[in-house]
Amino acid sequence: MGSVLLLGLLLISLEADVLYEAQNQNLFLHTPLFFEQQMMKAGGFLTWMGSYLTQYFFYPALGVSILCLLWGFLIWLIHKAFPNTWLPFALLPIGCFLVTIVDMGYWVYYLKLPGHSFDTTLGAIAAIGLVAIYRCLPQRLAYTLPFTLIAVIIGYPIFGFYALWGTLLIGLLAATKKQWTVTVVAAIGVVSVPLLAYHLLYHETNMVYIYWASLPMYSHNGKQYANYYLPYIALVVCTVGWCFISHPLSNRKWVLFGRCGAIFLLIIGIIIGWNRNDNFHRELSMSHNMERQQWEDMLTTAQHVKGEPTRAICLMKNIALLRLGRDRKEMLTFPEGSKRPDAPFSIRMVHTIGKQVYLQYGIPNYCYRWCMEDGVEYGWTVERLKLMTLCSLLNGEPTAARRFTALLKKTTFHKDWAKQYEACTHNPKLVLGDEALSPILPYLRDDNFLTSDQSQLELFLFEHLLGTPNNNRQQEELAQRTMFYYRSNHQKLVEP
Amino acid sequence: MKQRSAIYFLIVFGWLTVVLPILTGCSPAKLPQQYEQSNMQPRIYPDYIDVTIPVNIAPLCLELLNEASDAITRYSFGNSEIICEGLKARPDIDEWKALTSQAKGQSIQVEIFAKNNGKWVRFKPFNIYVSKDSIDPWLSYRLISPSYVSYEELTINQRCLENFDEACIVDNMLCSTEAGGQCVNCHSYQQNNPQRMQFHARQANGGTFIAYDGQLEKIDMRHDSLLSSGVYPAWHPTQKLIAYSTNRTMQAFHTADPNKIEVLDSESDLILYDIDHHEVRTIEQQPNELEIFPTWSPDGQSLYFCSAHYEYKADSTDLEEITMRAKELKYNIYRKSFDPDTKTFGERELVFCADTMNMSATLPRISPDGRWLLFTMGEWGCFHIWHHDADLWMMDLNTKEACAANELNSDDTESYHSWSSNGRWVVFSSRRYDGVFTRPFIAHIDSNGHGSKPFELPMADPDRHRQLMKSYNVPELMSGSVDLRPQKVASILKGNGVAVSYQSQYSTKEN
Repeated sequence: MGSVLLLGLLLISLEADVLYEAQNQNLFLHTPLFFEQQMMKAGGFLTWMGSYLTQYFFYPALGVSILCLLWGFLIWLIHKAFPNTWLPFALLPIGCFLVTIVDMGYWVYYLKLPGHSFDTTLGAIAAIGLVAIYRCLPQRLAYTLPFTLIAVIIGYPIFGFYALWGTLLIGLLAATKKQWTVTVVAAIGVVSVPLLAYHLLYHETNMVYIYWASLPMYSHNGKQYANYYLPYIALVVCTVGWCFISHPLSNRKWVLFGRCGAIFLLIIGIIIGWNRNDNFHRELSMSHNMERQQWEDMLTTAQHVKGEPTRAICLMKNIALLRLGRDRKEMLTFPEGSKRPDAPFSIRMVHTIGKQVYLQYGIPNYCYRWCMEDGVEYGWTVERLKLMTLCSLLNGEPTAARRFTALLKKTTFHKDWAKQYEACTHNPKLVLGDEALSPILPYLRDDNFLTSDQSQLELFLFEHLLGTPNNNRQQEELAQRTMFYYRSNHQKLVEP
Repeated sequence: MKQRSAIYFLIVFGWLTVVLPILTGCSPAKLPQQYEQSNMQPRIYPDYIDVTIPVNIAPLCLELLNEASDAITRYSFGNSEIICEGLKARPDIDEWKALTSQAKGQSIQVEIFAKNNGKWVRFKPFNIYVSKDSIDPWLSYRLISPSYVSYEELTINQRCLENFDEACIVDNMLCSTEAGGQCVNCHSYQQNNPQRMQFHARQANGGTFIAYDGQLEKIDMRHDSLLSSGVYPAWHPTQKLIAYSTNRTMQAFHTADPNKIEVLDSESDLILYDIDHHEVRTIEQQPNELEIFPTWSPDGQSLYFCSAHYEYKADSTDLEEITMRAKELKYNIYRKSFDPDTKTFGERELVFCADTMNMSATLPRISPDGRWLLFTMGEWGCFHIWHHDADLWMMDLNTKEACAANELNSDDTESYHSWSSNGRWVVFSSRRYDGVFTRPFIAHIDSNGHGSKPFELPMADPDRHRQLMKSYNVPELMSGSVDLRPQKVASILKGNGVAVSYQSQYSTKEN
């Protein structure tokens, strides 16, 4: 448990921003419809639970505490399911879970699996739990065979891939005890239950994915990123290996060697997998500050960039300077750059901080548009619903705003925010005094242009603000700040 | 020990899930004996006040929006009544059927009592008029999020209007992968017949799916001579022919306009597809005309469509130019005669001139008796679901008089509509509640073309539509249910499509 607590402390101290963003890019609604929609796919109950628990990253320490409790419970389950396993090796799955969270990086915006941060842990608990229950049963066919069938038939709709994994482990354990009937039934169940579910139960999962239900898809623009699956492969290999450990080691030298090896593997795996990209963490920190109008904190973060910053950092820094009424020349005192985001796939700012930037620049239609596009493709999230509420208020669409606040009122931690802005829908004058909205009001324009940003946030902003008339002084300022960098670095502003 | 624990668990579980609900559910709701009378009507969702419903519709469940800790709703006609307790009134289906049967041709009275601070208030009662006219029992629609470019899960669903049963007919996710998604759209039926349906699938495993009396086929309608595969469909009422538009469609986004997006065609034509011979022929392909939205007259002897006159200033199609001039796109309604025996068309005739009104008319649909033409009007363009000003208009084809169907319209978008097989009901798309999500509304149309107040598609949970983040698209009434499973449809779509042959045009071009 000490190791688990240590890992938890590391998470809170190093990844609080990522965890907060994970809950921002998550949505859990206390409604029957939300539950029903999750259950439309195999593993839906798992993702429903995962979405529910991800909410608690609103207070990162609280969410991490829950995670550590689950990890502790899992270690106990591992001991029950695989009694001959050395305790240090039980930490290897914990390391895998940790890596799936800390190596996420920009996937936090793109992963289409609800509740990802908790899903692997919960799924492993389900899989190992099935094995633990199997171990507790009298080892007679009258008990083990029906249980194996129930595990896969009922488990697959609820836990997806993890039920198949658990059933596979049961089959392997049975094989080590020469209970071939159970092994064969387990194998048949693992292969056939998803097929039956495809034909009889579900219509939202392509045939090619039925065995991987409730696993994340690390795929972007049609390309797979296989190395992100390594923790999952390691999990399965680990547990499969444990099935074949028939007795605990008694040789003290081997025990010591094993413990050191396990801890070494754990540390190496975490170090390799842990995404400590400075720019990514600064972007997250600055976007959270922007959400709360903490402009000074944004400048502090931008000031201490290590190396070349990304355009996202520069854009947010410029907005903070403007909001604080700082002179344009102060921009020169900050690091400037256009470093590509640290991700193996191309990142467009419209999918990350771009929506907030559009809002701050007084183009709520484009903020709304990208919230809608990303909400449809990547899932509805707290952040998108909040931004759509603010955009609707700025556009004078109170009924639309109420639509979104009604949903946010069904969350755990965002009810108060929803009530605050619902009041604005009944009394538009409140917008004038709102801390988040009133600074944007001077940037709103009456003139309209029918155009498209082609997913190029900064280029579009620059061309729109400088290429159209009727900008106010502040918008000119904003455009000039971008133009300063644009003059000599045009090509770098084109996002791939 | 373990066995005893299991038995105790089963007992407690059984009590909680079976016995307790039965005990608590047995107590019938009673009307409060003492209450204060209010002159105000209740605020309810959906708005079912003074609507007209078909006799065979599912229960109109509603939710009280006024501040209240509890509520009782009474639906009554004569000596029959249904009393529902709670802020959500959900009448039992069998009791509802009995009540509407009795109230046929007359009206059900609805009284709502609300409790606040221990005191009851009775709101001013309202009526629900029960028409003698029944409605086709099934409704088909696409469920799609109101996004602009991206899409993820799209389904074509069917819903029984006589109860709350809903099922999926087509699910794009069965054919979509992370490498390539599939869009499904434009489902339509021949004469409300669920055995004769078609829809399009685009991108991954794309093609046109046609089901005709049990025969399923995927058609590859792409051809070098065509702008695109068929888009907006119109089944001939009696023959195995489908008219389509072919379109080159683009989108542009408003920086400040509340409409947010404009969907435009840079080019569009009309074609006719012969199902038996897999042949496509051009119907209309005029160089300075954008033809779209074909629809047949009920006798199959006329093809109505919309067309906008547009001349490019550039030498060829210029997307930037047409975007800048989007507000000049004004569609009128035309028709061409059609000889079903020779399969030839006549010249186009103007039916409704919207551009002289500085408006644009789209989506013409004719009532089964051939008298009424229902269409959508907006300020410009052809994709009126994104226009907050879009309204339904009705034209009497006998007198040629047209006017806004004000009984059906709201302050927000009204668009896609279709007729019931008996011509007494229309279902149409409306964004009247929040301007964002489209919901289907049903309205009665009498023999004089007058509409009654429409009502929103009833749901078992009246709050469901306020939670659902998807729009109902292309609502179409059907005389029965489609007997297709999504997995079967997907297996057809994953196969190769039958290639079409392109034949000569039906009508000559005008220079």
